[in-house]
Amino acid sequence: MKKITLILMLLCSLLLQGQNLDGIVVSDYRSMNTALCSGTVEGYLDHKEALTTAYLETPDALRGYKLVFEGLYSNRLRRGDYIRIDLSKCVLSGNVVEISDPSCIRIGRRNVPIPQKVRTFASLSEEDVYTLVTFTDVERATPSLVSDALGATLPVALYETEMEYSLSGTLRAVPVVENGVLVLRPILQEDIAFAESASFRDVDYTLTIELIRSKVERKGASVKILSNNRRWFRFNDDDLAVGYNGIVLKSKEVLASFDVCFASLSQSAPALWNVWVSEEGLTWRSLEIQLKGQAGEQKRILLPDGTKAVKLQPCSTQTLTGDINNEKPCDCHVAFDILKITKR
Amino acid sequence: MRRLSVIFALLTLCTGLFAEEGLAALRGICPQGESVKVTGDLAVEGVVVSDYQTTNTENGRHCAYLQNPDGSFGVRLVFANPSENALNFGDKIRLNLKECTLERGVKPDAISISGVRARAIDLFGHEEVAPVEVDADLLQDENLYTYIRLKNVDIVFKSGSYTNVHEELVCSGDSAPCLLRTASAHGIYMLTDMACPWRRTGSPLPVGTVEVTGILTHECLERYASDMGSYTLRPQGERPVVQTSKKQEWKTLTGWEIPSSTGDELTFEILGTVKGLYKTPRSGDRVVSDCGHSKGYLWTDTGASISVYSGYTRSDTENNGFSWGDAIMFSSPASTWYEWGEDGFVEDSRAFYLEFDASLLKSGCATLALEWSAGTQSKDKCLYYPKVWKVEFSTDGTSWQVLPDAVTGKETFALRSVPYKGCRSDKFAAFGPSQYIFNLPQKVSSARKALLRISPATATENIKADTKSLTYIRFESIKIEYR
Repeated sequence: MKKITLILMLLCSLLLQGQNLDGIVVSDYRSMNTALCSGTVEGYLDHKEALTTAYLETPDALRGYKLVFEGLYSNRLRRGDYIRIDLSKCVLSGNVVEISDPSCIRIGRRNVPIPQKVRTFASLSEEDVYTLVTFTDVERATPSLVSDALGATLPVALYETEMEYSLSGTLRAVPVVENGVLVLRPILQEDIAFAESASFRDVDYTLTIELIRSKVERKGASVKILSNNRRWFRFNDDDLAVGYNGIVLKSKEVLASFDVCFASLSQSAPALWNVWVSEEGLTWRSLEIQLKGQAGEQKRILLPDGTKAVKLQPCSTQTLTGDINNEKPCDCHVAFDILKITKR
Repeated sequence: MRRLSVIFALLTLCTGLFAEEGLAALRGICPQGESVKVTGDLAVEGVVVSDYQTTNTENGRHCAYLQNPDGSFGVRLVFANPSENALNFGDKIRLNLKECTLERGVKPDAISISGVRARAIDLFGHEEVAPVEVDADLLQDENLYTYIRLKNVDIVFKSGSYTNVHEELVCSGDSAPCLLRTASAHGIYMLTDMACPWRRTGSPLPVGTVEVTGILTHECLERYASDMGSYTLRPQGERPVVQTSKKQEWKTLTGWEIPSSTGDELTFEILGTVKGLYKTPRSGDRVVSDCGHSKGYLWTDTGASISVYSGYTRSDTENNGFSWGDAIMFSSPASTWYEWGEDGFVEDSRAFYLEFDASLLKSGCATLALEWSAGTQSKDKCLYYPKVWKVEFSTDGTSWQVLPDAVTGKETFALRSVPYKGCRSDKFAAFGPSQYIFNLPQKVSSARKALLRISPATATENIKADTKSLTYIRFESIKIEYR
């Protein structure tokens, strides 16, 4: 009889074991940078998504889970909490756990060290999603892009989180997939440990606008060009656009990258832009890279050896509202949060 | 002047203090009239008495109210972001005040906590909360931001609904005041958001004594001259106003209600009853009262044309709680409201006058209640009118005594225009007629002839001696009541 009881207890414990999910919390409920917040409440950004999301990785750091709480004040998990989730009381689909009753979570130890998992941008894999990953030699290229020492970039989310330009160092972040794009989410401010000078250092440049009668406002890396929409284009005798005028950044030094981030554009501004490079500023070669003329579009573009000048130029007769051949002249401004070139 | 001071508080040191006094202990760390930024951990506990899904709070989801479990003290929580407020009525919470700012008023002595974040809130239970019953005449600052049942009040103006405004013209998130009167004739505004489903059911408003369940707040709405008294009431729940007695404690001595049954007619002292007044205004006569058991007379010395104005409706899009809003309208050139000196400055003002026989009043407790507005809901016809007024009382027509507003205690009160399409943001536009009461002095009951004078208390910036533009002033209701 004792043996049967013992076997039954063992079976029960094995079954229960199968219904539990153990792991270490890598997010923190005090962070507002855990998830993409969309929508508004009374004109303010809706924080619900960030407040109800937590990330958990298995103790071996091989797999990550996203925990989605139903109640706004239910998520009180801190980084380093070793927890056990009773899966019979919540819904697990893929690696997302929906939690309507927070009592399904039992917190064991706190402040458990999280295994360090170092990756490069290129070596990130699907298994790293929702785990805490460490990247070295990282710097901020544009408002929403981080770059590694090789110039590879990934989007980064920085809501209520500071990340300085011109510095580089170690970044710890949770990779998540948002709207089909892999995004890095540093959870706590301490996840950004930047101290060294950035690998890509800004260089001074002379700015030439190929448009006639344009006004340029330049402050640091931000540039605003006020002009007429038709001056971005060249027209033939039949008044059809046949060429383009661009923005030239020229330096005496050999360049490593061209960083660009569009801020805002008039509706009549060019919709597509191309990047050209030159070694001496006379003959130009296209990099076959197209940028969309829309606010927030940003890129770090690695430049070929020997490049000393970069040109950003419309590459289509399309404007944000239509075709320049059918548009009347009107005031037009094109602004950049970031328009800079760097050297190694 | 407020001083911003910084405190470093430790949760452990304060535990004993809060256990004893609850939320009232916050008075100990924030002096009256000052604000304090909390930089250390400091936890307070309480029960939530608002619901983020109902809209009748001061500022939508930005605001919540927290009280001691026994209702002895309450505070207002102002969230930094409205999406972080998901507090339900009856939630027991522990709030860490770190990074919050406490602000304490002087009159009234109320505490507001701003900068509240979701991460600072721990939910640890839920309980049923019963309102604390308070006689309306015994309200005190400790009742602020607590859940109360206000007893022994009546609704002064009973026509239409709790939101007597034309809702099409109202800004989203705005509230309309409905004036309540206590047994001793103090006034308190009950504020109702346009999204409250009970605000206009189509049923008449209670005529007897009522009790109202809600949160006692202190609010300053610019549309109502920024001063709504020390206490305002935000009703909560599905049926917050309950009639407790059908008996009308307040009886009308005399007044002008312009009932819709009489349509467009008024009775004048000399001319007699005249119909079609909306087309052919009269002037130079006194209007005889149309309600109450004693005759009263209403007139002005501005020479204004007197007509019946019925173009202003007060309803929502489905006509629930519909009211015609018929009014006696006085219109005259704006400059006629003042007497002008040779230097072009105002020397005195002209007035509305009421005359009635006060000897019929059995007790000394009597009020003047008026519901009025300016303009005609047309952009061009609501700009020129005196905005600050006073009420005075006399028994001989020579010595006048100013009567303070029974809500604010101030000697002046406001006239506001009602909005017109395309100009909802005009800060001088109330959403409907403004409601006021004034206590008549005790000696009124012995006077056979009592006089009231309602006149501009100050000059008005855009009215000059040569301003020809007309001033339109409408009395939706004006009456002398007593108990």
